[in-house]
Amino acid sequence: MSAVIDIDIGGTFTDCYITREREQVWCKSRTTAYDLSVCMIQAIEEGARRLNLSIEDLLGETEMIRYSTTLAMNKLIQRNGPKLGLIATRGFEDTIFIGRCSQWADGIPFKHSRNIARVQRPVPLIDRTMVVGAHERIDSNGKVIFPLNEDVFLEQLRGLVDRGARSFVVSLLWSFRNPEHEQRIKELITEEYNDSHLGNMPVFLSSEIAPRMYEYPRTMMTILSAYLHQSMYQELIGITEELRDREYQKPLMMVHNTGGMASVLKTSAVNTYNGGPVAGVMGSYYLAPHYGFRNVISADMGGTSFDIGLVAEGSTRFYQFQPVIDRWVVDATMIDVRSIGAGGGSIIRVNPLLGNQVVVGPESVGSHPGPACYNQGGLDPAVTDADVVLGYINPENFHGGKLALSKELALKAIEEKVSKPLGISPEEGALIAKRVVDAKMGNEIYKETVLKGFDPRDFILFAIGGAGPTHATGFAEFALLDTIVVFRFASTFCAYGSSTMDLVHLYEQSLHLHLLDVRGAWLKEFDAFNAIVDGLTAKALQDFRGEGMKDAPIKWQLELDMKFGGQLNTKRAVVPVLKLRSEADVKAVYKAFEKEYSETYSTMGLTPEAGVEIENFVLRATVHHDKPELRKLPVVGPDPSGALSGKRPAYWHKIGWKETPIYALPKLQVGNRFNGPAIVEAEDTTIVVEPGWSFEVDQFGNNLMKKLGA
Amino acid sequence: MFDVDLIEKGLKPMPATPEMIAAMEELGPGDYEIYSEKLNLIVEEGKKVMTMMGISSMLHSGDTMAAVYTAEGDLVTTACGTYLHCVTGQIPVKFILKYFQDDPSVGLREGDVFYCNEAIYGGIHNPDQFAIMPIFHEGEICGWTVVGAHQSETGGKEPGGEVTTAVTRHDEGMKLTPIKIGENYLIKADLLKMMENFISRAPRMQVTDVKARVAACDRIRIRMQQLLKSKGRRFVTGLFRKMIKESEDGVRKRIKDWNDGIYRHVVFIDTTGAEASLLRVPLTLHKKGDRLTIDFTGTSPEHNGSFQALAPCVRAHCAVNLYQSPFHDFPISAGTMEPIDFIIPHGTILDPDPEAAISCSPTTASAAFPLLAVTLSKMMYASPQRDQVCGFCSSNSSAPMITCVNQHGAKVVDFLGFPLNAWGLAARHDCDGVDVFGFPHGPWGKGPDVEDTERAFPLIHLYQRGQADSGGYGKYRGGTGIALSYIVHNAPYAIFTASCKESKFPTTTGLFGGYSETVVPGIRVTGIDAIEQMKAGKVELPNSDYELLTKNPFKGKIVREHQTRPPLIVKKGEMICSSTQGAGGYGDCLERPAESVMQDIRQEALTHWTARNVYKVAYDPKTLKVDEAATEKLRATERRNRLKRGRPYHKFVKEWSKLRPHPQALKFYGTWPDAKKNREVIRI
Repeated sequence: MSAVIDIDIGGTFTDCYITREREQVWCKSRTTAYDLSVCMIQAIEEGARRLNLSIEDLLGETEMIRYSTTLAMNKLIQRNGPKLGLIATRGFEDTIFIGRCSQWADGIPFKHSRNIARVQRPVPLIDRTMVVGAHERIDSNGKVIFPLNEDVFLEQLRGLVDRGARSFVVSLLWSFRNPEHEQRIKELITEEYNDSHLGNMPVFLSSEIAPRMYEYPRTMMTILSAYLHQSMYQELIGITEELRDREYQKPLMMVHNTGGMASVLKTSAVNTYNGGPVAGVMGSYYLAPHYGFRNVISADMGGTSFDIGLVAEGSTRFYQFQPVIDRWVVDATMIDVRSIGAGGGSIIRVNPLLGNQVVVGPESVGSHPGPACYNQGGLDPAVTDADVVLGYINPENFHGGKLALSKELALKAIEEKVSKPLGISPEEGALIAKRVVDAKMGNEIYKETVLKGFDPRDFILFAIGGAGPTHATGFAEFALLDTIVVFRFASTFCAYGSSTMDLVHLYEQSLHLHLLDVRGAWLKEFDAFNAIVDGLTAKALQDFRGEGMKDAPIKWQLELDMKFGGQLNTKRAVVPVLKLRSEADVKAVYKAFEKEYSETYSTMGLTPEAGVEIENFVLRATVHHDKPELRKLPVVGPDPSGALSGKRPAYWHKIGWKETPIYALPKLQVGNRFNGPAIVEAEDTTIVVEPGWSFEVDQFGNNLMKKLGA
Repeated sequence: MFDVDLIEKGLKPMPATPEMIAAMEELGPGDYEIYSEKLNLIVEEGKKVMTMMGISSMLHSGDTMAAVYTAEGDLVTTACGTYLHCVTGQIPVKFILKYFQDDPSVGLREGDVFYCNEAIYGGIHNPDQFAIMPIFHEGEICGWTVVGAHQSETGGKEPGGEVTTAVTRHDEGMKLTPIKIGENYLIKADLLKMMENFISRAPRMQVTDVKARVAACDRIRIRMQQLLKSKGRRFVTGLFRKMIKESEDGVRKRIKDWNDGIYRHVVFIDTTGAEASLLRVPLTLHKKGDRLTIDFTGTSPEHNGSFQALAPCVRAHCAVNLYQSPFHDFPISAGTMEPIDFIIPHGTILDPDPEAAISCSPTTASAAFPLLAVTLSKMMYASPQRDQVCGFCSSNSSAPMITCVNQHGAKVVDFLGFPLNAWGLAARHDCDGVDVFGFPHGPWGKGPDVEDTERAFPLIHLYQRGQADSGGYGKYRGGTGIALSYIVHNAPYAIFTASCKESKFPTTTGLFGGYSETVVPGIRVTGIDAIEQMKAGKVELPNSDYELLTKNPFKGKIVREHQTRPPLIVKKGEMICSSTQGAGGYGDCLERPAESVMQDIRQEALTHWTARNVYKVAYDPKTLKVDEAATEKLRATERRNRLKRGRPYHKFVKEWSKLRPHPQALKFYGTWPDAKKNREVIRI
């Protein structure tokens, strides 16, 4: 027997999904932020128990462990990383503190950034006194126009070390075009401070970490990698040792936010940011064809945020470029998972200045004190309180009864802060709040879908996470979606997602080329284009060799960031050729860009007469991995009565209070079917089937909801 | 045939009809919350389309907006980088309705696209171009969408759109009154060609950005028609009215909470654009009950230069301040402006004759920013909005415009976006301001990376970093500006222009005893090839204006000038600086903790000279260790000296009244001291 284990370490829970031949189990443990190896081992132990194995036996037969975590980012938020020294180009020492000027707005909701009189810049990761400007300069063509002054630099270096630097980031202007000065600086640091002096003093070069244009995000990407390097290294050592002690000898792979995975040795901390949600998108990508769809929206509603991922035309081709991590714009390419401040903990308020407008979020009560119904001292009403008041969530069966909720406190909070100011009943106040948050989530899904050039009505919704199934029929209506799937493993979906991922490496390099110039001439510099592709290919082959996969078949894909002449923003397009050999190849590249651009914006915006420019090359190299099989189950029949656990009053839009059937999810069988209103309860989630929706356990044992009459 | 009445009243919403009120009252529970958010996302989508498709660097800086208006042309909601345009966008819509709807030669049909950039029809200045589309549903107009953005070329006598040497409107290039440029959802190629011809210095920018504006409008139109189809005209009418009404009611309630009174402030501009002179801009803010009156009586008379603004532009600048500060938490709709009245005297630099040159109007009208910020701060200090007390961002909004054939062979005219976005934010009542904060008109914009600018233009930056001492001193320090220098590289020359209202005399003052922002001179170094000198590696690279001026490492001719620059040719290897100001401080600098002053030195936000002579801190300059006792002694001495320098009020007035600025400073000021008209302005 052989097994594969997938782990997703989140802020509160650690999810585990284990595939052992044709058998799959999933489970959760509480995250132990002080030592991630503890929760990881606990989750694997629980999984082994469900397989009737000891953890040693399970790990002994495990071929691979993949894991995703964003907890490295907590170090960022806590600002307890190592003391770094930054070497910039002289005259540009303040680049990371200025941060394209309105850095103060990065990473905060627009609502907050509108309040100009209160904005603040984030606390920097590097103190200003730890930045020096090397006397050097390279121009946009990569030509040295001021040679590096090594004597001055060595003096600056000693100053940095005297002030406590234990690790160095080097980010010079145009270093991605010519890394000569960065490399020389690294040599000088290594020569001056080798291991025999102060121990290992790692040097991070921006031209190696992120060889792409735009110095601010490139520098921040390099700083974050350096800042998180040590803590991630220590965390991995701890996990690896714990696993080795329990007989696991195979590789530990990490989920990357690019949609693939790689060995821990080929992973920088920034690659792991948002790995869990990205794994969720990859899981959706794998599962979509099973439902006959090429277009899927995955929606994960948690406590504080609502994450939206998109699979369109059978592809996860949407990325965030230069995303904001914490408060920093970084030069990374991530699968686009859009996040807004809406979740079970979103605070409900009434604004008397705006005609008693009901506002939900983006502020959250967090897990402490949590919604009022948690009975942990919270007084603000939150979305979970509204769900309790409406009768959707059973206060005695939340998280399988592990967290008893107080309906009385939920009612009190809604009454005092929502329904009394509005002069309506608590249930009506709760319903308005629920509809407002559902609309917020649904409208966001709609906007994100149409902005990418698609009609949401062509999509199916995968509702994942703990709270997603509770609100899915609500927000699906506002997004114009009429089919929802809630998987049996919805609450551990991101761990499942990583089980479907391939080994993927992404390589990027910036080079400015005119695909079509303003005089209408097509690109003739095939060599410059092809040399970039060759360079990226060589790196990929080297990395795969390092991971012991030199003979594995590799799938290559070239993506280019392009724009019409003069435009400020680029659009990424997958192009049909890897190398240019003829003008026909060049035109094919343009056609791919034109198609992508037209679909996203408008054919009215095509301006090839202004020229077409390539800014950046992205080579994606993929080695296929086997995926867990989704097996069809025998159909039992439509009658769900065997799973009916009772009835309770629930309050519905346009209906009011109604005795509503409650079903126990574990008892529902394939083929069971009923119409809403109904509530389906499981240990880890509650599925709310609103009036106007049908519910059915489908052939894979998952839960399918459809809008009636759609 | 501009319509003064329409322009003056155009910012306020049309009175609600009984049908609108009934439709509003029919909205169900939650409809307002749910669908107002839907509208916000629709305009956000439109703005994103504009930003992603456009060329002008002002899109990076956020000088753009996308908005939805009622069938009558009142602002319902907007997604914007600057609040200016959503306010002014109302007037051309109302103009089209009033003059063209029933004119058979123009008419109004589904699929029409209108376009305009004429400021005397209610806009800011002609670089701000707008696409406008009616939103039809079942044959009736149910609303409008407008998408606007600043574009850095207008075909005027100087490149760049802001024509500093303009004498009349005829020097300023293309000015389109609202015209129909498209029918049946198609832009007319002949009119696009006409525009391209007007803007021959940057034809690519004109064509691409017109298409981007129209595509964004069309995106909003499609979404609105989907909403109308699903919810019906009456629902949408009721929703529009509700959004306007709730903003108005909220603003009234908030104003009512403030103390009634009269609050005053005055600022000065130091050039007409063509000639140095002080120009006075005072503001008297009347607050009574739930209304505010913003009164600019006492403003200097109009002149022959370009630094003046039409009244709608001034109102729009006030709206920026109001939406950004006291009403930042309200929806951005026409309702906000209902309880606000304006007195803007005609014949002044804030409302000159329509023949006047006004393409530098944002530079001029932005004097309203510190004026309103200080008067509102005085009013809000004793109110629940004390947290809004702030002297605003430095209001200069100046940046050089570059015109050249770039290193890739393209003709380009554009703002250099970084300095445009690099002004300080003033200190607050409880904390320092923000260094290198943003663009006063739209602070969320982004300054481009150095590599972005050097790739697009034939330039090398010598330095681009914080500028010490540029933030106003005080108990809380104003945010700093930047020091920035460009060298022309890989092109034989480039042409630079710039408009700046305060290079010698600061407009943004401090608050409650804080110092004002600094002013920054324009600097050029000519007669050199800096790049060639750098290649040898022998020259000592300066990293601030101060080092450049005092050490002159390239041994060139240093030119110090006003930052308002008529077109200047800067040759390959020569240098031009475009540093920015910080913002005002708050409170007495003797109350600033000495350790905070040392921290400012560590951050290179302050010089040792200022720490010793202004903040009166005693410390070891090597270790920055403060001598608390000596500091207290220095500060006590300074307080005593202040008392010695003090005068009883009547004596002060007597002495002060005898003073008079240099005659050149008063040339265009008007009568001294009350700035009344004292000369005829003849425009040909």
